[in-house]
Amino acid sequence: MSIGEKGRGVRILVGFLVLWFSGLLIGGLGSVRYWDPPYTNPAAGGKMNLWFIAQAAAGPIAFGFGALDASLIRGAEEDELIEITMHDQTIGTAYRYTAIGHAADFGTLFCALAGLINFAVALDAGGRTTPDRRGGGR
Amino acid sequence: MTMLGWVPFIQPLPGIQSNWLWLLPILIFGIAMMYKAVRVIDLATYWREVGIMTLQVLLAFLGLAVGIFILVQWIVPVLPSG
Repeated sequence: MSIGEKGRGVRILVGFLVLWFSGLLIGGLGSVRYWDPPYTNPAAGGKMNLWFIAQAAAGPIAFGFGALDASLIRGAEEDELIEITMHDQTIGTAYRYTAIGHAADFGTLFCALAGLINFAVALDAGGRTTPDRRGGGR
Repeated sequence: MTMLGWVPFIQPLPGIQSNWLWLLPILIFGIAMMYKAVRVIDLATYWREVGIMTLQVLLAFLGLAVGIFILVQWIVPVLPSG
């Protein structure tokens, strides 16, 4: 289906890709994560990462990268794991390349915003019938 | 030197913890690209509009930072305690 605005579509796509791949570049694959590994929260993990709700609005690309991240962590070799103290003070392991701090924050944020704006753009495309409904230079 | 062993997209970008503020212009630029692609009437002015919006948001952040700095550093210390 097309509303005949290819120029806009291409620009939106480029903007989306800038945000999405900047996020992945900053935080690594862990920026798009639909499940929490056991070492990330006191409830032993396995829970849904709420940021993924926003990221999922990006479409299949989010689920693809999420699955890639999950398979990378679950299938990690021994030398890709580091020993850490878990929340219950037992010794556990974490994936060596898990982003922490601002890298994790911004990587997740970039991808979540890409998904959210993608959703807003989809709503806009579905709701508009004529170009003159645009709000000028705002 | 830390960049030499970095594997993009697998490992997080090194050095972000101390340089995270530089990510703000990139974030705003990406948002402006998507936003202006929808809002702008004439696509010929697209990049100009994107640049203006990026600058406007950055200046707004700067204004907020200055405002909060003044509040925390100068106003709060002179408030009567208790």
